[in-house]
Amino acid sequence: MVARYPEVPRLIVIKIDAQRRGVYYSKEALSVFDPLTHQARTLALFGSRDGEVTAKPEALLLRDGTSVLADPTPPSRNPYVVDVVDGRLALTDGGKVIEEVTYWTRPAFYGKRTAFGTLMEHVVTARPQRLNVFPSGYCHFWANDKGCQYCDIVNHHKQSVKELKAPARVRGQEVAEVVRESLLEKGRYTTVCLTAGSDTRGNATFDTEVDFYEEVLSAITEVFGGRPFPSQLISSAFDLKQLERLKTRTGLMSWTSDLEVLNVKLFAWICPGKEEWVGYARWKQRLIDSVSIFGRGRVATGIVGGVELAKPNGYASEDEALERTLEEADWLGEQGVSVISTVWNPRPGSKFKDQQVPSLDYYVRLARGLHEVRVRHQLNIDFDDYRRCGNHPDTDLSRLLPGFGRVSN
Amino acid sequence: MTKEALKDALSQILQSADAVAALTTIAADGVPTTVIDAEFSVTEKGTLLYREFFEGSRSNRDLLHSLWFNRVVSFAVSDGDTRLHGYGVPTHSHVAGPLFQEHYRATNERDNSADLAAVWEIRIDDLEDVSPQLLRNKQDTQRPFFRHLDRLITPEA
Repeated sequence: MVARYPEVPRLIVIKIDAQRRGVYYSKEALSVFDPLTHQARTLALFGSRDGEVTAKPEALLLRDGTSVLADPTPPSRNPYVVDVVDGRLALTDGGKVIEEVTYWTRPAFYGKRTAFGTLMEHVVTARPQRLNVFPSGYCHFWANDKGCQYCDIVNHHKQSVKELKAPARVRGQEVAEVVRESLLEKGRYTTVCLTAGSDTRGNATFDTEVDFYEEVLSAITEVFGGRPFPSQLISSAFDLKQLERLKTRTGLMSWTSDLEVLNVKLFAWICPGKEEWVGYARWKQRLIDSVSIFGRGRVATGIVGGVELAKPNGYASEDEALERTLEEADWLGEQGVSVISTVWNPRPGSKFKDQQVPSLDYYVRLARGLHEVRVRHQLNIDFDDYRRCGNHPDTDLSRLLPGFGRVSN
Repeated sequence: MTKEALKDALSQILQSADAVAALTTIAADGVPTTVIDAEFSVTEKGTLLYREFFEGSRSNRDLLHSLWFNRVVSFAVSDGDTRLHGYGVPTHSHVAGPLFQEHYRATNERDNSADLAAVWEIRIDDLEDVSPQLLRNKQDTQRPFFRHLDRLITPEA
């Protein structure tokens, strides 16, 4: 694979495949995992392929600083094995060392409690350089059984509330307290990311969701003296009025709203709730409109790479899926909207749990194609790159991009 | 000097108050970039650490390209007397974790306005003493045809 695509770094191919196949931690790998030093899995919006919420390593880092957010996966599903070889942690396949890896470092605020008595990691979680605020794991699309078919958000939320005793919802004031505490650890965080399940309630659709984000973002903004701060909101497709409210009243600097799959018919099939409340064409239009508020290179839409091939209604071939997806991504790129992809994990709590993911070749070509769209349309993706996020192979490739339209040294 | 002695000399120079250092990287399209006043240190295992202050800089992108595609970067250091030149491949980009945060704190202590993008770890593949007097002696001995004749002329009696 590395030889077939010499322009794609080997480390990114490894990352993609580890996320595609998942990882299994050997006893030796778990024996060197220290929850007081390394970051263990805690609250997350989505579950994992092994369906457990136990204290396993959160994720891995590669030598180039790239995160590998690979699901813990049962051995029966052919995952990579994280093992200890010659005293060092390594990603292995068939007993062969593929690459050295390290565990993420435990954030200093984990284990502390807020003034309300909540464990801080139940309010804000972390990646190596990002603070995650996931205020609610309930998605209202699930209310009438129209949740996205690849998604396990509500089932995982219920499991987390029960097993981790996590709060069902967090307060803005409490989030700000944790953000302030987290920043006592110097040099750790470069951005704040907010996301939650969709909330369709309100006078206008999603007004309740907007209200909640405004409360949380306003509280965080106060930590930064009322000024804009590196941040990303991943939300439902808000209208212009709702977005203007967030942009003018808070320090939010970028916006992402996920189409999940770039095809009108597949969108309706895979994301019936999104189709019911907004629809594919209107969702796209709202993304495009938002560029006037946040600017080119500050708006993105995420896709769950591979669901376009889900059976029985997905594309019949990987070539066709790739061609159509990149065509649509190119059109969006021309309008100033970046398309970013994740690697699809069929999780046990989702309707697509028994589906097969596409080939590694497909994911490598998808990552390369989405990166080329950004090059063609001169779109930076700084707010959702390897460091601000770490979950998109295509934005890993964009680390080599110069600063389009800005001062570049 | 032996390889180990050269690494010791490199470490000593970098600890000197008079040290000057430069890093040269090469982009994917072959264009070189040199960083003057590069901040280096040597690890216990003998690798070179380089503090990169600008995430969007050419040098940062070039270092990543070199790490991804196994290409060398070169460096030069001097304390005024001894000059060393070397090259190697970047093997790690420390952007998070204890090592990064240690360098981040050190950077801030020295200059509170400075941010730190990454600490690059470079495997040293070659290190050479290129101090002017040493080079002169070596060249005069081994490549005698490279001298200008006027330098060899003896004064008239």
